[in-house]
Amino acid sequence: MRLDVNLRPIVYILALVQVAILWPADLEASAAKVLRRKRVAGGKFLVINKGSRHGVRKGQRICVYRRASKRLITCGRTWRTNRKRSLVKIPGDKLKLVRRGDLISPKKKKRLGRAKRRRSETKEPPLLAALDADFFGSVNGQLRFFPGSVPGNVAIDKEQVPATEWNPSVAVLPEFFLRLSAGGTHEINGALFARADSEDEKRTHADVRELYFLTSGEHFELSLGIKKVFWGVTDSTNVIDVINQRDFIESPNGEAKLGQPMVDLAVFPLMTEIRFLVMPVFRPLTFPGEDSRFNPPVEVLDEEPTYESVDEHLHVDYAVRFKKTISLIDLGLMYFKGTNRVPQLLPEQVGFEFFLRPYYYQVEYTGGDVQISWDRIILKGEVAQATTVDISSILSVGGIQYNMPPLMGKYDTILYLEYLGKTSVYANDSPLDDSIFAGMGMAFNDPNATTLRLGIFDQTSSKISIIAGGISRRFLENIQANLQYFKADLRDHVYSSAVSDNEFWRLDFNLFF
Amino acid sequence: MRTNSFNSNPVWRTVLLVAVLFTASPAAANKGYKIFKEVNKRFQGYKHYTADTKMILKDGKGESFTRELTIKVLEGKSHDKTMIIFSSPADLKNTALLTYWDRSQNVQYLYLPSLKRTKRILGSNQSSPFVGSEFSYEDLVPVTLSQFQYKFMKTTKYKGKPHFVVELRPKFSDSGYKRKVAYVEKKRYLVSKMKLYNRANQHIKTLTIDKFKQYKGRFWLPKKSVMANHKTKKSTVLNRESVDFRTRLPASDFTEASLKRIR
Repeated sequence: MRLDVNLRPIVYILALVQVAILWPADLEASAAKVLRRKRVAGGKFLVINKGSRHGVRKGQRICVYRRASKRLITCGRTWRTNRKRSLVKIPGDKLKLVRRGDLISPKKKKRLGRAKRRRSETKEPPLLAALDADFFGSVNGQLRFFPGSVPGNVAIDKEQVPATEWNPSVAVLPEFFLRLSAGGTHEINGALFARADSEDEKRTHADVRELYFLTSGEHFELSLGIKKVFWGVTDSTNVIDVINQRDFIESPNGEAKLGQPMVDLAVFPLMTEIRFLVMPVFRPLTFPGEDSRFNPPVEVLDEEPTYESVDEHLHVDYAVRFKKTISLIDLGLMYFKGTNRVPQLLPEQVGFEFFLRPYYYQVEYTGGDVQISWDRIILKGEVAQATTVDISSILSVGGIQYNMPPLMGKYDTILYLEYLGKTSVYANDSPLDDSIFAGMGMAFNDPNATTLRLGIFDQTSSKISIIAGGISRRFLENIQANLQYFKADLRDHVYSSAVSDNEFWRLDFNLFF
Repeated sequence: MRTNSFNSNPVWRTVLLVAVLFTASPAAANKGYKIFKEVNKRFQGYKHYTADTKMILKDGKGESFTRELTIKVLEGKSHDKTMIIFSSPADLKNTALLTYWDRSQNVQYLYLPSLKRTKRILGSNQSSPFVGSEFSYEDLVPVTLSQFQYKFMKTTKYKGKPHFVVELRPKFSDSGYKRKVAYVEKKRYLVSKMKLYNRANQHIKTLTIDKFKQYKGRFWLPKKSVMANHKTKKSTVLNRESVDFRTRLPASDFTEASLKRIR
């Protein structure tokens, strides 16, 4: 569903109008006709008859125009002239452009420069104006299946047993963009999301993933609006990816993110990227409905959180990012100051009822990421120091990626091995702290783009392990199917019951339009 | 040996390359190199271009898949930068791949629109098929003249026209080919056919290049090329729908940061 509005003809007409306006009154009077042309010395010379009679002198800069349209064809300096003819030296091989009957006009240097620029504009319409628009997206049909249907740890609450093991839902993800090129590029990008869920009212939700205006030039990029920004290099988890809030309802593993309102300015001096982000609105983490999957056994009051900052969700966060590639090394630095995306869940008791209330504290992250790629190996790591009012912790994740030589000249396999140090500011916020991740990705490189993924997390200090796998391929030309499996053994973790549905299958059909 | 940038569309470019054989006589090697240096010249000086390309994957049983790509190339002093942007199939729409050479290795960044994430990927699997087609990455990514060794073999007639036959041997270790045999049209120095031999020296693929057109009075680009796999009987047709040399492509369009906004 691509819609291309080509303004080129309009641009062309505009350019002609401009040339016509610029056309000096005295030009007609002094214009000489190109009566004959001749190729001399490698096609660099244009012969114009009766040149000097029309005031063309030796060494003078002249321009040639198309007779009917007055369009500038070429400019050059007269090389030799007499009463009958002028030889004009034309830079480059433009001779074929000149036709019999075209007009020549002596031009002053300044004018000439302007005329030349006009001409280059007509040759490069995107500089003047070009509109490009596109609307596309996908419809997602999803089926989740929970074989171990009864949550394991429900001691605190009584009715945590979900009604059914099957959970179908549908979602739409329309995207559009509108681009106007006029002395730079201005565009509006949008990506929307809405899901209707059969089981969970709260999972029936919608979000503006992206909606921003972007203006960019050769050395800068400025966006205003709702955006998704990803920072980091590792594959198991990312400790410096702190800009967007997770869409926890949509996907517990953090692959889905909520749109973040921001002003994002990037400058690119000396092949370096420096980015400044100002985020005036905070998006709190949302939890699934009370009786739904992936919810702690105790109700989370996610709609009434508390904040450290008196500005609450309107605290202005800001962040800076620096990126540079030096041959094999990709280096990044980051700084963030503002409301932490991950809350602390503080227990509360009202009468005999227990609740968990999210508490969003202020945090300062200073960190970086590095990636060294050589031959078949990429070494990657992320580290950040997170400082809050009462704690300072070092978060880290890093490892190695190895691309195997293709099997049977066709199948590409990538192996990952990563170590996750501390990944959350406060202890126990993440079950992944101090664990090892081993993963594998395989691309079949067939026309249907079949891929296979497998990942295992194993916590070294306690009995926590997660296994996740998936397979995806294309059906027909615009349907992609994706089957995922997830199983977690979180017995020792304090939030174990938060992922008490510790085994599930997920089947997605994405229909692209 | 001068490291010449091989300035063509990456697809066609590889096709035009040659190698010097270890065992070859210096004269044969020299002649082969000279021929390809001349071939190289047919693709120099365009500065930048944007080409809309259609890739048709035929599975040999009558079924075919179409992929639409936009290829942007920026000519550089020592190497070119290439950007491939998908517009179909729909699930790959706006997926962009940036490739360039740095310190004798390929640097590749891939932008995944569904995750809004740019990843550095390794260019080491040169011999892997490109999106399931019969073209492999090494047929598509930029290569330099010095990456091959050359040997002039003979002069022959192909499609009624006299051709030079030149053998190319890749000098890089992870190539999927042991050698390539190129048929270079004598009159215009354009490659019209290339036989590709795998590591076991079996003739597995043949590339036929057709419908050359001259642009700006200087460089030549083919409109159509076909890669046929003799083993699987599958083939891939690459059709250049349009090419634009006019629209200026700034160097800033070929950076990791630009991948997200490029269309």
